[in-house]
Amino acid sequence: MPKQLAKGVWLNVIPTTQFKTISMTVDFIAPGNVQELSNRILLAQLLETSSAQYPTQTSLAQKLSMMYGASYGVNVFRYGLQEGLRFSSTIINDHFIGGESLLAEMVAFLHSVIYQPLIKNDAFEPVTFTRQKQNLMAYLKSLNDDKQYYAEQQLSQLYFKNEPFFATSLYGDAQTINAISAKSLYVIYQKLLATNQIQITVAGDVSETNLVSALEDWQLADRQIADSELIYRRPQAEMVSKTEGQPLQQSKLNMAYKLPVYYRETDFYKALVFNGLFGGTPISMLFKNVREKNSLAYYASSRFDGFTGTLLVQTGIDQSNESAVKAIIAEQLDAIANGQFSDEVFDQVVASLINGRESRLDSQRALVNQAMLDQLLHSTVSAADWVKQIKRVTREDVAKMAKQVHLQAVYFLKGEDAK
Amino acid sequence: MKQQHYSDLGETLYSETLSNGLRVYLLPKAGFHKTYAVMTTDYGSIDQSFVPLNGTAPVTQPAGIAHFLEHKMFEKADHDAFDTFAHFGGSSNAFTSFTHTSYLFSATHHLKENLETLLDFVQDPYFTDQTVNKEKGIIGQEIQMYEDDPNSRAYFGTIANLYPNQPLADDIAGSIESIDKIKPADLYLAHQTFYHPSNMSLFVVGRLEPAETLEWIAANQSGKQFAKPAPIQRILPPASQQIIAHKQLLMPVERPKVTIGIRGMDELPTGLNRLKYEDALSLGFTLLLGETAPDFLSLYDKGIIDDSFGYNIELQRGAHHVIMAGEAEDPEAFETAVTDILHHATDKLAAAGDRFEAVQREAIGSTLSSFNSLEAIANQFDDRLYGDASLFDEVGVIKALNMADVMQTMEQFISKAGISLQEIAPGH
Repeated sequence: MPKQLAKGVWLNVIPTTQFKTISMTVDFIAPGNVQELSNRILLAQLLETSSAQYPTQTSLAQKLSMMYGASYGVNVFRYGLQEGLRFSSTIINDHFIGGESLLAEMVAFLHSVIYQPLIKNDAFEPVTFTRQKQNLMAYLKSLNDDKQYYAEQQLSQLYFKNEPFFATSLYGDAQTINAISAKSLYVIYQKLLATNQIQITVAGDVSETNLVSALEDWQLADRQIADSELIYRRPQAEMVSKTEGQPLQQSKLNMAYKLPVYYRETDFYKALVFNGLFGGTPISMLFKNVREKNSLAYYASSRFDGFTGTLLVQTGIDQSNESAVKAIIAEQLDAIANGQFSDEVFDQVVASLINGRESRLDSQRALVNQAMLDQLLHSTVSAADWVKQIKRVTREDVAKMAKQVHLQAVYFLKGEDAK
Repeated sequence: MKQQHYSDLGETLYSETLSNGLRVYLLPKAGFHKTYAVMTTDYGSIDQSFVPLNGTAPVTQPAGIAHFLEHKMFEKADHDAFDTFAHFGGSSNAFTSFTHTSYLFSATHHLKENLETLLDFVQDPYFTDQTVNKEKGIIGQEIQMYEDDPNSRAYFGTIANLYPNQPLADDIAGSIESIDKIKPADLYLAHQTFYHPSNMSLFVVGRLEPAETLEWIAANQSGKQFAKPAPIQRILPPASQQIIAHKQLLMPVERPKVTIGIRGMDELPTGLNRLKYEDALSLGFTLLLGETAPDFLSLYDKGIIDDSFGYNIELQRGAHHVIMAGEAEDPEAFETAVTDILHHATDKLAAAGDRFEAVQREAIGSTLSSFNSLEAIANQFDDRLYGDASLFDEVGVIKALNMADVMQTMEQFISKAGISLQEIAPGH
């Protein structure tokens, strides 16, 4: 059970001896928009590499190395309409390193890097700020060299063209980032620290009492957190499509469908089984038909996002096969809608999904993420309950899901005249 | 069954070599829900020329055959192994490296059935003209996907520069032209030679009971007939220290990418000393160019390297090298700076003694952390490369290292090493 440390500040401790490490995350969460997302990614870049106590990467790295290679990272996440700035650190369990206690040291370290940033005259220190902003801008550019990522991003921009927050990648918007100054970002950060919902999640061989006492020095203040929506229900729109040519060997076909089913709401488990059958597993209809039967692709898969009610399809193909692949994808949806799949494959999909869910219990990171998300949603579904729900889904349920799927956006990155 | 307890890791490894030669390793992990199993043959993309089992004359097969074989093992006359695993909830996959091919599954239920599926599908080949030809389209797309990936091109380009005219210079998947030549008979021949149990190992880790698990495996194996094991004769091209020093490749990239490869020409020690060599090299490079190094900071602050900079120490059957890669606005400055540091490594390391403890602690922590992941343990485990030593001895090895060991190993490696630079420049 999460413990409230102050109004809007929650501590969630997951005691377990399964791992050799203790993992801690501190999340600052608020409703998102493009500006906020861009602020956060620049903050992440800056705060991961500097603080008042550890002003350079080398001083920071030296500290982490002495803590037996403790990991430290800052990143940005998004669940539906909410976004978070996450500070995370992982240390080795005391008894593997001769009983030396790193827990208090890690908690103090995180406090130092979060609450004592490298500042000068009420602004982020200008030399470091400029360097890290440049690095982030360069990184944004190089992301486009990953064509799978690029195609997915282009599709998002089509599908969410009326919702810029979702059209923007988790790495923020370049133009918006470029306009942020060292002074403005520092003001924004102070406000974020004071007003955002805070979730502290710890998994490992620790107790809540350990953590509560280690966190006393943080003096976390109350904050008013309005109940805000997490799920984004995108309205149905006209189908849009776009083709772009680039000198590439392989073309990328990405498609977005609206499937108006949402995380832990009505039909959610039906949608998960449907996605597993359609393209979410290596035994799926897309994998079987696009890849195995017709040899048209190396990868052909689908993914369902219950926070926006979106079903995404991605595949890498030869440019001459665009219409053939589109037809095969559409046929698979029709086949599912008409119940044209075997009991055997249906059972295999269910078994695969259960395997995937239970396997997440073996990942410290997955445990931490799930606990954080449960708190954000004010609901919990244990792995055992999840499995029960999945087992209840029938063939008819899945066929019904296929009928609710509506194609909304198609992006084709066409490979042409590559050497 | 042999049982070895590693107190510094809190792990107990069980092992047994079956009468057919298959080496079995079992690592129970308390508290885990799933079991991960990986079956590996000591056969990878470089093993293109060999004398077939029971044959006399050497053959040379098309580049990419090991990877092709990996793809084709899943398909059987009347079913696909993916589906059999899925029937028991198992999630399956496979991968091919320069020297190994591995088949794996992970499952939270039906361990016995999933293990039997793994052993059966890896040991029962089925290839026809039709199934082989069909796979050419799929692998063709895989090859083209990697051709468009600048990081992949940079890495394999660097390996090719370091080992020109050697099988290592070929991409693991081969080329569209080379795989086009592959026929069912080639695949059967490779399978017969390299998939003999005596050339394979099976590592199972996670939720398991060792005695019962071994019994299942042994029972499955005793029901099958295998040819008499014979030593595998691999035909290697004449040894050559030739290196391509510099290559530039134009790709439609937004930022230039630079990779520096350092090929070790020194003779590697064997057994536990090889593990010690590898760890000493790793500490040495961390001291020289890791984030705690003053040179790292100075290059970072000058904008010569950025967060994309990283390096990897790779040691495998028949080769060892260090690969450094990063994005660089000024590839020439990157190259000059990094090679300058390598040339002055001895002096720089002599001045790095005060950072040794930190770097050593980091390596210990990082090795311990890797034991959280069933996949990391099983995939990194190699029971031939280090004689009787393995991943499980690594924490002890790192703890015993000192600055003198690191300096000596770095000197041995760098003094004879060959360096190559691969640039990916914007353009097409």
